[in-house]
Amino acid sequence: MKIDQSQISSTRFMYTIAFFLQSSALLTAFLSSITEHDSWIPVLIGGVLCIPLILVYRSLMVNFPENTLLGMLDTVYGPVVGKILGVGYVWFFLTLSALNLTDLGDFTKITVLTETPSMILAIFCVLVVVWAVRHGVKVVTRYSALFTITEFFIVFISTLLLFDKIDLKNFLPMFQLEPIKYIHSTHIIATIPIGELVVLLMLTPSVKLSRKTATKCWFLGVGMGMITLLVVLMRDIAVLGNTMRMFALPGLVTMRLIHLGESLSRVEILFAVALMMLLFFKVAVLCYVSTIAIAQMFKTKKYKNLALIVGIFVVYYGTILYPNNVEHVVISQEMMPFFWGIFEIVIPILTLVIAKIRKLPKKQPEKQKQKQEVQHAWDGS
Amino acid sequence: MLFGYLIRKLRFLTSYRNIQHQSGNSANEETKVEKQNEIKIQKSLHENLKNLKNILCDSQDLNVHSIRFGSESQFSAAIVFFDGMIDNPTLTDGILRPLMLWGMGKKEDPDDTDLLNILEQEVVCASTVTKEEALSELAAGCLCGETVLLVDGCMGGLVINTKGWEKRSVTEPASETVVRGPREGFTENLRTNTSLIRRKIRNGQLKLEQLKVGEKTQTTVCLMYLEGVANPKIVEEVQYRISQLDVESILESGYIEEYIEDAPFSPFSTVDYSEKPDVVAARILEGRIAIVVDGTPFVLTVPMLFIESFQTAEDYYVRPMYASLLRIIRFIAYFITVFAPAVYIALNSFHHELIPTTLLFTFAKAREGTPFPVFVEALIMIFAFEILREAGVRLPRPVGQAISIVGALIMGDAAVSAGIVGAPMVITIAITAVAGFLVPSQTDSGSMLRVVMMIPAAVLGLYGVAFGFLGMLVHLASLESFGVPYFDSFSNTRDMQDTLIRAPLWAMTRRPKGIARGDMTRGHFFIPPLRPFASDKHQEDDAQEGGES
Repeated sequence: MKIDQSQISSTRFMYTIAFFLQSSALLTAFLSSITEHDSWIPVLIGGVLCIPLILVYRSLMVNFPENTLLGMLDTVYGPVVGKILGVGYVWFFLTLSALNLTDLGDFTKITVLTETPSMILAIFCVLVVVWAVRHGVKVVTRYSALFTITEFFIVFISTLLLFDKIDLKNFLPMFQLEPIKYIHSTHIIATIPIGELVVLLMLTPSVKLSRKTATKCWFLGVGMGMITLLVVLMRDIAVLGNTMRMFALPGLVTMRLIHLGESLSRVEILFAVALMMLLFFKVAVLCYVSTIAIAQMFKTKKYKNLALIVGIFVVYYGTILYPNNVEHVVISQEMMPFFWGIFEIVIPILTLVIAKIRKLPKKQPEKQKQKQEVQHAWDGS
Repeated sequence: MLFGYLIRKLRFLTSYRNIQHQSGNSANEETKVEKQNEIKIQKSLHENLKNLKNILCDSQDLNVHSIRFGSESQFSAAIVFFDGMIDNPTLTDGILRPLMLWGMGKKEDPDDTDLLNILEQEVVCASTVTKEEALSELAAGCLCGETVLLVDGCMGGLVINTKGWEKRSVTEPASETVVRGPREGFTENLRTNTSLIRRKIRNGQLKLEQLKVGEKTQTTVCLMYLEGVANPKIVEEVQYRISQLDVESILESGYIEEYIEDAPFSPFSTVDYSEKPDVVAARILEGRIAIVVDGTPFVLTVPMLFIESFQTAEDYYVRPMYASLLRIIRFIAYFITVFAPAVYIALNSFHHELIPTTLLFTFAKAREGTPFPVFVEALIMIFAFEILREAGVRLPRPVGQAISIVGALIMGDAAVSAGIVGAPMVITIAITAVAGFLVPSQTDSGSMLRVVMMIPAAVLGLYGVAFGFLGMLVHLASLESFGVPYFDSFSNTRDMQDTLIRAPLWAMTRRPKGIARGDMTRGHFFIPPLRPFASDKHQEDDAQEGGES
């Protein structure tokens, strides 16, 4: 069932993956308070360990090119179990949207507008998000390339400007923590930034993707995102060292240290604004996915009318999720990885395995062939 | 959203009413049409003239000139034309003189049925002569500036092309001036305009389609495009939208623009216009469609991309490095004209820490004496500036100077010294205003958006500005012009050659992807200085020449 008729190119999908990961660069606090100055190690390990997971996502996309994630569940598990799982996923998408929106609000509250209630900030953000969602997947993902490149640029420039503050001794001593901490951090990396990519499976029918380009897209996208994450973490560690775990937003503190003679100082607000925009598009994608998922649950094609409802719901949901920021961090560290793991890792793998056993995309070859031919025609033109 | 909902409901209601109206009145209308057609041409010249005059309401500028011709002046005829719409020499040399002199030496007279054919083919000297049998057609010919020849005893009349009226000559356009590049501009005459374009593109592929729009004005509208380059779907869409128009009058291309544009409620226009033939020719060569409207020097081009506002003709006539610099300056200027007041308000009311300390003191000093909040101050100044600008456009030339003095002195200096606004605010608005003129076709969107952006800035500071910016981006991304995304050139990596930088002409070998279809290549990539030596043939030629000499 195709709800949104517009289509996006595979390149844009790749950049969407990349900026989805990049926007998590804000939330390095989850890691840094556990593995401290060794936080870059779990990123590396997590990145490598997640290759099979990405392959699973990719296979799901390739095998069910005309279904969203909920559609896949329906076909694989049958209507009843599929629907139950689908409800779970809708809740998962909504929670993710609410979490990210709260993050955006909190981030703004900490950095720019300390006295404004975060509810106002969230409402303002959601209004724009809803506007974007109503225009469909094209608008939601249009700026992905632009923002990915902007983020690269920001990271590059800030690293350059911090060159005098970088102290490589901050990386020492390496591998001195308990092994369980590394495992814990890796688990967080696998579930929070990378596993969240499962939401992009909801875009499947809107993406022009062939077997060949799918692998390229997923790996290039994830690669770009992870490299940004890694560079940001290493920069923060090299500058802040062991003090890093004290801050809720290490990235911002690092940028606050930028001083270039008298000409450039206190520029972190500009970076903050740029990061805010990145987070905004992540929220937009998440809200879009939630809207599409709900529309699909109720078998309606008028997802546009749902957008505002989802937006309002997400704002209120965000306010009741956590009483305060500290609890947010603790729960994100200790509970969420296990909880999210079900949706992000267990169910997709299970789905793929069952689909393989049931040899499920039955009628697919023909359709797929047609679709691929269409794509070739598109590529050729 | 609510607005869009209302609009949709309204649209539905109007279409519903139209359908009812049509079904109810269709019978009536048919009879009306029949009644009009009932006045048929007759044999008697007198009757015909009377009917023709009736159709044209016996207007005073309708000239009826009765003549007699033939070897013995046995045929009586009349020429009918509107005074001032025709070219007098053509009338006398092409119609009257041959008619009078015809048949002098002939013995046999042709009979009535043949007479018109003979007149059409042998006698009248004009570029186009057509035989018409309906009086309404004859009247329409008269209205276009053609001369109608009616002969007694003939069932029909000749419509002879004698168009000629006073028109402005080709001059330099006032709205788009260039330092380097052709200085000719379009005029109010449709034919002149199409010929100006055709003279730029001397290719058989350049196709022209003519339509008549406007029930009362009967304005000629021409579509010009390169067959095989322009996207046929877009051509079809433009044709459909123009042919669907059911309007009374088209006085300027702005009418057409408003009727066919995709986003009537957007601050951004989705149809571009130009007054210069070279600009329009360049756009046609990119695969766009030009809409030339009779009676206006402004030629529309569709589809429009956002980037087009930032491209000027001169970008392609000066060297690429400098052109790219100008392009970037234009982008920054547009950014300034939309966001400068908003950012100033945000900095002044929320983010003092971002302002360098010394400047902060200056700001504080300036704000000390002023009674209003920054937001109100900015509104006052923007409003004053818009008033001045509008006054500058409307005022007669000699008074203009007085206004500029009032504007510069009273609004700027006196307002500051009187303590109504702060000096930094005057500077901000001044730079905002001046920057707006760098991007002429987005001046209107800029002046609207800057006020809109000030509101979130006043409420939420830079956060508000950021989200205002995001909202603008979302809106821009959602716009489409005739099926082509408005922001297409920014999301297609291949079309980036002509966005933030202007690539050298020899590197822009492909037409924009979203617009053109079919023939996409503009030329082959080469680096100019290498060219004479790049091909072996040339070298051989050189060698041969060397050997011979």
